[in-house]
Amino acid sequence: METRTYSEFNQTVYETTLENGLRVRLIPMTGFHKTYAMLTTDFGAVDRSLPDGQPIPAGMAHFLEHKLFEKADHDAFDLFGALGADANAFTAFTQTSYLYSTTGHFKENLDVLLDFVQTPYFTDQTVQKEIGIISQEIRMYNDNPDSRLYMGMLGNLYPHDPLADDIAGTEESLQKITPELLYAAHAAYYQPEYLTLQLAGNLDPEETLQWIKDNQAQKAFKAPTGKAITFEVADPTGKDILPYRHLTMPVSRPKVIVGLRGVQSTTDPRVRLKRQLAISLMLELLFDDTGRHYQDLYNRGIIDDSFSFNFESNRGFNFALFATETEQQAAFRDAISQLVENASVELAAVKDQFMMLKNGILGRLVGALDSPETVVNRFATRDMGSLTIFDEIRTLKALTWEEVEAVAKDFMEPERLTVYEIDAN
Amino acid sequence: MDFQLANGVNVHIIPTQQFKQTKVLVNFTTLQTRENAVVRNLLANLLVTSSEKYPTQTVLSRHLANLYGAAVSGYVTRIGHAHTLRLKATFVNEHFAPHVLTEMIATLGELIFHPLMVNDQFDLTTWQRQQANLVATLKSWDDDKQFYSVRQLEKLYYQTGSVMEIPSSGTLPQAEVVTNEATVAAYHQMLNEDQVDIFVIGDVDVDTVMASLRQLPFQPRESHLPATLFHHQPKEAFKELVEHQPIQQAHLNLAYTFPVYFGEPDYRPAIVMNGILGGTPYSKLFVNVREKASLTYTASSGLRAFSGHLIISAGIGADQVNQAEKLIKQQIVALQNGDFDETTVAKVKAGLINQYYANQDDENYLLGRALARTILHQAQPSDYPTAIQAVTPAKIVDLAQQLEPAARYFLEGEN
Repeated sequence: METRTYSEFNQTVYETTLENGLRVRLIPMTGFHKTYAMLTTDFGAVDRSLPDGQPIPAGMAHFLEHKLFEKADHDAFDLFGALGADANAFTAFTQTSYLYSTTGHFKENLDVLLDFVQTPYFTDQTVQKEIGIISQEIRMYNDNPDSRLYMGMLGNLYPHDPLADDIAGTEESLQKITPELLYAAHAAYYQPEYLTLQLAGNLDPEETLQWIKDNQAQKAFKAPTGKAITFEVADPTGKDILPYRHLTMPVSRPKVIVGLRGVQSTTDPRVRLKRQLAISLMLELLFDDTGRHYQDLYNRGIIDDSFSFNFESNRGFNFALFATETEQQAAFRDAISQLVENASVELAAVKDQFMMLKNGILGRLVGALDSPETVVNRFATRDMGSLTIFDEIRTLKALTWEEVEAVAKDFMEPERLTVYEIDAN
Repeated sequence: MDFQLANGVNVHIIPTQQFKQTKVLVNFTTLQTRENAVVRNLLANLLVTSSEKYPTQTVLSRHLANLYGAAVSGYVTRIGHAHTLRLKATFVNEHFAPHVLTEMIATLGELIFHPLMVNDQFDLTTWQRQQANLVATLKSWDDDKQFYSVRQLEKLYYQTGSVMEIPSSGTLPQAEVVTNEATVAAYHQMLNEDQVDIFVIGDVDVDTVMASLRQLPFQPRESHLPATLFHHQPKEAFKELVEHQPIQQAHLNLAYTFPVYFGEPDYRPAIVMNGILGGTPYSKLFVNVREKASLTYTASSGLRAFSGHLIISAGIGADQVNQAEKLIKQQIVALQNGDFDETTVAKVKAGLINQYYANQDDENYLLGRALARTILHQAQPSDYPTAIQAVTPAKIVDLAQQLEPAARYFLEGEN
């Protein structure tokens, strides 16, 4: 097992890849009562075809996640329940993750997790029933304006990509899901070579690794293909962006979101992490409440405490978003696009705040180390290599002003902005 | 470890080396009235926006960023009849950033004792902006239909004209007419008359904490909180309200009177009962209504242990409402008839005990628990896992039989 030591945090991270391809990362945390475990496949909602080219309907990764818990004679939830563990799962664009936290029965829970995720069971009857449950979930999200706003913005930024579709799919696309398709997707994308198992908290690394090896030894898998799951957007130049759309629905206040699409893509995890940190820091310098314009926009009622911004970087795509509730949607759009357009000049004016904001983000990341969930969740997929939150902190510490200036030049491009609005009807 | 800074101003320190973050919570308690909730909510927002020394949000934010991303939040909540206004600071500990602890306690002192005031009024621009923001926030809460419908149920459940009918945040109409003068009066009352409890959790040196806290000019005050803060509601006729809005999913919410209160001997058995009814993924509501019958996306129950009731919430497809409601009510009858198996009870208990141990890893949980026990004058209770394991099926049935329907609020789409 490879060990990496981060002496500034009294922390060692253990990592290894088993012969069958399963990657294991163990992060013991002194003083903690619970162990948090998460098994992640890189297969997510954007992955919409099988290796042979057969299309996968929108929402199927999420559907598969729901359905894996149910077996012929039991439900994995119940097994975790009998062991006192708190289990859950989620599907994102580029991953599907299965997780639990427990303060006892450590080996038994680990076996339940590996066994239920690696042993599929689907029938016509269970698939039909699940369509009912997920249709309810889709309706719930359709009534939620924040979810509509976010999805609307993604639909503008990536009109010809699976990113435009809700992770849960639609009531129509669910009808195309069959047990055969689910089995095929599981056989292709739940192979150990696409899985990462992480545990953090109360654990003994050697003992835990042995449990995992014993469990895997009882199962047969196909030989690893050596091919990563990849995703490429339809138009890498970003020229297909829809500049504006709006929706009318019952909301008490109008909402607006501005999206900014990044086109630079890299598969090198360290380069990506550095770029991600540099862009996040740059956005804080320009847009957060320590910045030059926040107070003015706030006092004019163009933004309020609902204002938020964020940068998201995933396998094959990255974008920033800026959202607020406001009656002055046009003023908000203009303010954001001006800051994007004048990014270099604006940035130069706040150079003296670089160290302050960098230390601020560092402090918050160090604080996040109090949560085994955060430690595990921040880096879960294969495309980020062996990086962890501890590397993130080190990379941020080393980040220079020049690197922040440089990312502003390639990322802050007004041509790649989009706006999505929700108005009250 | 408990200390007193002045009469009615108490300090509770929980030293632990487990965490890299330290949290300081300053809690002001008074009795809620129909009027004070909204104004204290606004006050909490004002206090963390700016101060005399940090006169704009920008200046305050830069000061906090300089302290390695320290954060301060202000909010209100209630425990039974007690209305609490809280300021909470979160920051990395001395090993990563020396002096931040003392700086943050001093900062809290600035925010509490020297708010941004001109001629005994809150700075007008700041006050107007925060008042507008409060109005906006309360408005947009209504967009979360699940949350909205639970609030409507609570309003329906409590007696018309009662204090409890007003949520701890205050209401939108109240926020629209609140005045600067009323905010100032609420501030002085809070500062001079509220019971104050300061909680500190983290890897801290107790002497350093106390030396910093002693710099804060808190004056002695008499507590005028009553012996019990729990809400006991007089029996009322069953109340019902149906509302229509243009939405896709219907929301059914039911309230039951349930006379078991936080910390009482029956409280822990009640947690187990709620876990079997709808508080866990192994519950009757989750398994029978959501999973087996596929009638709802959400179906859960929750105890209201400071005010003696229990609520059930479900998100339902518009065409399945009757079936779902019938099935939900059948789950309660089944529970009252002892129709539940040992495996479910064992799973619920195991989950609760696991949650109890896991909570020991959560600073916010530890603070919240210490706060509730302090306000309610409850000693550290007996061993939780033992108490949970000891709950019998007969006890669960006995508790379930105490559930009495009190209110039904139904939000559905327009046809």
